[in-house]
Amino acid sequence: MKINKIKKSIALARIQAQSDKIKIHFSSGETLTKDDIISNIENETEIGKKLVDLHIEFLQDLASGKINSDD
Amino acid sequence: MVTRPSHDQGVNYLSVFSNPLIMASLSKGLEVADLSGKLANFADFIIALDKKPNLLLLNGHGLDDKITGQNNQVLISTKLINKNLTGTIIYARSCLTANLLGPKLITTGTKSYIGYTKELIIVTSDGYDKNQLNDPLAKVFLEPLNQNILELLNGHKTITAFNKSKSKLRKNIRFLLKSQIRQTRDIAAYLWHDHQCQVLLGDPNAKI
Repeated sequence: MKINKIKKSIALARIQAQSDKIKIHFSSGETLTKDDIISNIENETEIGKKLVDLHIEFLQDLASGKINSDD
Repeated sequence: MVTRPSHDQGVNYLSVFSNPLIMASLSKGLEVADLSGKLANFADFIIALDKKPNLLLLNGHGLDDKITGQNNQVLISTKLINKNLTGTIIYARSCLTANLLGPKLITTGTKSYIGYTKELIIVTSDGYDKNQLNDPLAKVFLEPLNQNILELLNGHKTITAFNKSKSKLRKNIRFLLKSQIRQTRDIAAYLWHDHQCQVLLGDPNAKI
């Protein structure tokens, strides 16, 4: 299934703003740089789809107040 | 017992951040079976299990039904449950195992199981390859996870350990969100993901 265009652009904008000097390690074994992540999202790989979902869920939970009230 | 493969950057970070936990265990006079690097293989794992450890920290890669050691050698799977895992408390720092493996272990007698229902994600800074314990980003991600073990070593229940770990994750998320630097704030999304997929199965009152 293709990624929703709006969600994809939001996630890409957030990732493009991230530092170039970090790495993201997944416990499935992948280690991705910022460029790798952007490529995965642009190519809509499985890991790219997961990352879009991760960023959108975070923004939804931040907007709903869940993150700051979840004690 | 701790398994800590080191065959890629991600598991190597988990391995290095297990060092303070090993030191904390030893300082309390506890015996630690440290299956580090090549020792995190199936044969040595089974031998170490013969001593019936009461707490297992399993670092590694995982799927819904299995967790692995060095070079992704399967250590435990839903089809291969060792009887010596009965009565233990397990903290699995890997992805997905809380979906099938954790529940299966609980049904076969493991007291409690802390694990993850999705990918466990760690963000690290460049330039700390030889000094990972001082990586400020890795600390934000891994110190809250270490809290699960530290609380258990202090004699607390698994529910207390689990809640303290989640509380520390939330504290670090808020710390990141308060940063004046957008690049730092955006990393909070990954930490929130880890917070949301850490689960406790089995007896919440279990202690080591």
